Amino acid sequence: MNTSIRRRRTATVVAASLGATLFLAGCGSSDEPAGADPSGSGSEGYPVTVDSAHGEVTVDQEPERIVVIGTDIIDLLHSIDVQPVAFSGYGDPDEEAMLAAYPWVTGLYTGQFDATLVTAEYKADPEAIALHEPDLIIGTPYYIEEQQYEQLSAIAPTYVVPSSSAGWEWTDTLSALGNLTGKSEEATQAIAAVEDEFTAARDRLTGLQGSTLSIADYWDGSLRLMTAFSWIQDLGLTPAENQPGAGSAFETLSLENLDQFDGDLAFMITYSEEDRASLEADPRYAALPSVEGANLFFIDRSVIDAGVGPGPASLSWLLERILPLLEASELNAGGQ
Amino acid sequence: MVSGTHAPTAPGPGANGAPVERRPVASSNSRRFLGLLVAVAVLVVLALVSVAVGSKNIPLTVVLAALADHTGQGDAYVVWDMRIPRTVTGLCVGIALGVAGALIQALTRNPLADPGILGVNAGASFAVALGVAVFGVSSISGYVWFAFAGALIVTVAVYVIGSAGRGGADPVQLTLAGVALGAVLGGIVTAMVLLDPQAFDRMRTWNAGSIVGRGWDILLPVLPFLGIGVVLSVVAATALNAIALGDDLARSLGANVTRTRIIVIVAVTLLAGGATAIAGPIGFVGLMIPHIARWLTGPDQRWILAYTMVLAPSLVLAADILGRIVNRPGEFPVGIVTAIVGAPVLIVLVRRRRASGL
Repeated sequence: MNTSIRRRRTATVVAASLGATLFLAGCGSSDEPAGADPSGSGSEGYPVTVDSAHGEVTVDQEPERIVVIGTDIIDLLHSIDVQPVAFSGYGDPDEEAMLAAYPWVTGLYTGQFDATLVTAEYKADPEAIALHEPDLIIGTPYYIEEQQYEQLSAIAPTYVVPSSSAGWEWTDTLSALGNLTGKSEEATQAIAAVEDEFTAARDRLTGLQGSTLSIADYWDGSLRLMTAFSWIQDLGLTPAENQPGAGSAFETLSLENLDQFDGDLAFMITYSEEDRASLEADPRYAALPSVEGANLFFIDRSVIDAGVGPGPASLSWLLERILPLLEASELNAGGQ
Repeated sequence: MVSGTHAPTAPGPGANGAPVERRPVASSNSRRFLGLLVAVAVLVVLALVSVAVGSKNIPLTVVLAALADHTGQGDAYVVWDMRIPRTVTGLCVGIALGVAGALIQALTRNPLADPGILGVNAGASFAVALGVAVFGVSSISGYVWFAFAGALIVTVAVYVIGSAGRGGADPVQLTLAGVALGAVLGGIVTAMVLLDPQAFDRMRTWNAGSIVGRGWDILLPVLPFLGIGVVLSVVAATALNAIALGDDLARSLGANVTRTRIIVIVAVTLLAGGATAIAGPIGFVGLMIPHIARWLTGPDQRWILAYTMVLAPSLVLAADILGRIVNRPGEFPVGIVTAIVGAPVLIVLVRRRRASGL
C-alpha cells in the first residue's frame, strides 16, 4: 500500500545515509603519530643506517622514546645505559610472570612493562606500540614478521634482530644497538667486560678445561638434552657429543638410554621432588660417570633460560649460579 | 516402538538381486579356533619382541642373559624394570580397550562407536585437569585415580542423561548424551589449559596416550577393575548377540535388555576408564579391532570378544614397539602411533563394499 512503500523508502534513505556517514567517518584521515620533533641539526654520528632482518634501518637522530619487544633486548640496552620507555616480554601476561621467567631483568629497567605490545598470537601489536609514540622500535623476527614490520615502520624506524640458524649472536646485536643509539663506545666496553668475566671464570676452573659437560632436564619419563650453549665453550668446557647444536632447543633421550648421558660433568634439571627421587632411585643413575665422580649438579631451569637469550646481565646471573658449583666440583679439584 | 537404528543384516543384494552371502574369513568353528591360536601365537611373539627391542639397542644375547639373571644393574634393569612392566601394561591396556570397544559397538549397534563415546576419555581428561589445576598433581601415579574417578562419574552422568524419558537408556540417546557431555568437558579442559599453559604442560603428553614409565605401581592397583570388566564382558556376550537384532527382537528372544545394558556400561566404564587412567586416552584400538575381529569371525559376539582380546593387545604392543625404534634415542608415545596406523586402516574399513554388518 502507499504507506508501506513510503515506509520502505524512508527506511532505505535512513540506512543509506547512516552507511554513508559511517563510511566517511572511517575514511577520515587521522594524523600520523608524530615522530621525534626535529630539534636542531642531526647529532654526531647521525643519521645511522644498520642492517636488520627485514632490510636496512635508518635512524635520523638519537632516539629518545624506544619501545622494545623482548627481555633479552632490555638486558643489552641496560648494558649500554639506554632505557626504553616501554617493553614487553615474549607473551608473558604480566610483569610478575615476566620476572619469574627472566629473573635477571629485575631492576634493569625504568620503563613501563606493557604486556599488550604482544598479541595472543605472539606477534607485535602495532596499535599498542603506537600508543607510546616511539621513535625507535626493536624486536625479534618471530614477533615482527614482514606484515608487522611494514605496519611498524610506518610508526617509527624498526630494528629487527637478524636471526641465523645458529641462534642469536648477542655481541653483534649489542654492537648494532650501540650504533643505533649512539652508544657504540659503551657497547664495545660492555662486550669486553663480559669477556673479562669469562676469562676470570676460566681461571677459577683450571681443572675443568676440556672436560665434557652434559645438560638435560628430566621430563615425562625421558631426558631432554639441552642445546650446546656458547657459554659452555666460553668457560673452557666441551659440550657432550649428544647435546644438540645451537639452533635446536633440545633432543629427547629415552630413559632406556640413560647411560648415554655421559659427560664428565653434568647439570640436571628436575621439576618435582618425585621426579628427582625416581631418577636417583634408578640403579643406572649411580653408574653415570658424572654421578660416580660427584660431578653432577641439580640446577634450576632459569639457568638454562638465561643462556637462551644471552646478554651481559643474564650471563653474569648464570655465572653467579654455576661457577660455585663447578669450582667446588671434584673434577676441578683435580680429584678425577 | 522401534528404538535405535536397524542393524544391516549380513546378506546384501548382489548383481542379479539375489542375496549375496558374506562369509567371514573363518566360517566354521574349527577354523575360528585355529585362527585364534594363530592370533595368540602372534601376540606371544609381539610380547617377546617388546621385551627384546627398545629405544636402547640391547643385543638379543644380552637380553636373554638378563632374563636368566636379574642383576638389577644396567641392561638387566632396563629389561626387568622397564620393558617387562611396560609390555604387561600394554597387554592389559590393549585387552581393556579392545573389549570395551567391542562391547560398546555391540550395545549401541553403532559401527563407529568407540569406548570414548560414553564420555570416558572426556571424563578422565577433565578429572586430570582438575587434579592439576586444583591439587597440583604432577605425576602419573597421581593422575591414575583422578582419571578413573572422572571416567566413572561422567559415565554415570551420561547414563542418567541418556535414560531420561521413556524407554530407558536408548543407545541413540546414550550416544548423544556421551558426545554432548564429552564436548562440554573437552571445551572446559581446553579453556583451563589455555589459561595456564605451563601448569598443564605435563598433561599434554599424558593426553597423547603413552605407556612409558608405567610400572607395577601404576598397573597393579587398577588391574582388579580391568579383571572385573573382562568377566562382565564374558557374561554379557551371549545376550549381546540377541541385542544385535534390535531391542524388541532381543526381548522377544528372552534377553534381559536393561540388565545387559547396565552390565555392559559398567564393564565399559571399568575397562575404558581403567585403561585411560593408566595410559591416558589411546584412540583407534577400541574402534578398529572389533571390526577386524568381525571380519575374521562373523557376527557372533562371543567369537568377536575372543578375537578382540587377542588382537587388540597385539596392536598396542606393535604400536609401542614401533614408537620405540622409529625415534631413537627418543620415543614416540603409543597413542600417536595408533593414530597414525589407525587412520588409514579406518579409511580402508569404511570404504570396503562388503563391510560386515553388526
